[in-house]
Amino acid sequence: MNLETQKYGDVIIVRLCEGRLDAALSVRFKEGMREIVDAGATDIVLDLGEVAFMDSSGLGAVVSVMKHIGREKTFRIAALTPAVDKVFKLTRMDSVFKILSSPNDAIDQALKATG
Amino acid sequence: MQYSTQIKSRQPAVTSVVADVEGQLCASGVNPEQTGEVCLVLAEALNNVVEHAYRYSEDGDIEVDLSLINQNLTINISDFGPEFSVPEPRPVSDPSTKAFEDLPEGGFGWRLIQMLTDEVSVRRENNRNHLQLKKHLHGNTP
Repeated sequence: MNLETQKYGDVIIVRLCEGRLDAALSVRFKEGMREIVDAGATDIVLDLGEVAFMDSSGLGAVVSVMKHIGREKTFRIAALTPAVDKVFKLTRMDSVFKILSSPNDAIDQALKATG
Repeated sequence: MQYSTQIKSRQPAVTSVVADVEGQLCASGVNPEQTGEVCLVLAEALNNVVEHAYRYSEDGDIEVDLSLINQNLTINISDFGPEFSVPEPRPVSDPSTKAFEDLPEGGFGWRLIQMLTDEVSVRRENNRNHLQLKKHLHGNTP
């Protein structure tokens, strides 16, 4: 499980450096994300740009992470590849996530806010 | 295109079957969109076997057979788990009407399979389940 984090102001970009987010990886993904959240992150962007394939276990893991983060903090997902975007749309879960076309959108916003 | 393999009911084995099939479909000229759909269907069906037929016990046998003839894709998956039936297709409910804490983390597998295939059937024979999934591919496949 390879999660790379970069901080810009209050925003933490977490890049999932894996080509697949599937049942074999979903538990480790949840654990890795929980560590980052529990370390005090309050505004998290999950960059899925490298993930070319995600199954419903992977989707469930992303939902679980969002619930763990809670409504008081900010959680966005970014850079969905076509196959990953399709899973969100077919399950209609795209309606409950804040989705950015690129993590840069959040970075620009964070850098502006900090001046 | 013809692909057959036998695996044990372990999630990493599912990952590698899906990766193999992805490579074969791609090499057969199936476009990325349909390749992705077939891989998703295959992953969901195999995850069901690992999770429900064998309940995560890792020594269950699974046979996978996939063929693509004249743009007709057929996937056959067999296991020795308990008998099951395919749930009735039903529309995906709108998750935005649910409370945040109640957002679903699972239960999408069969619906994804049903949305992305043309035919789903299961028969029980000699203590085995035989799941068959059919999907007509279109476009630039051979």
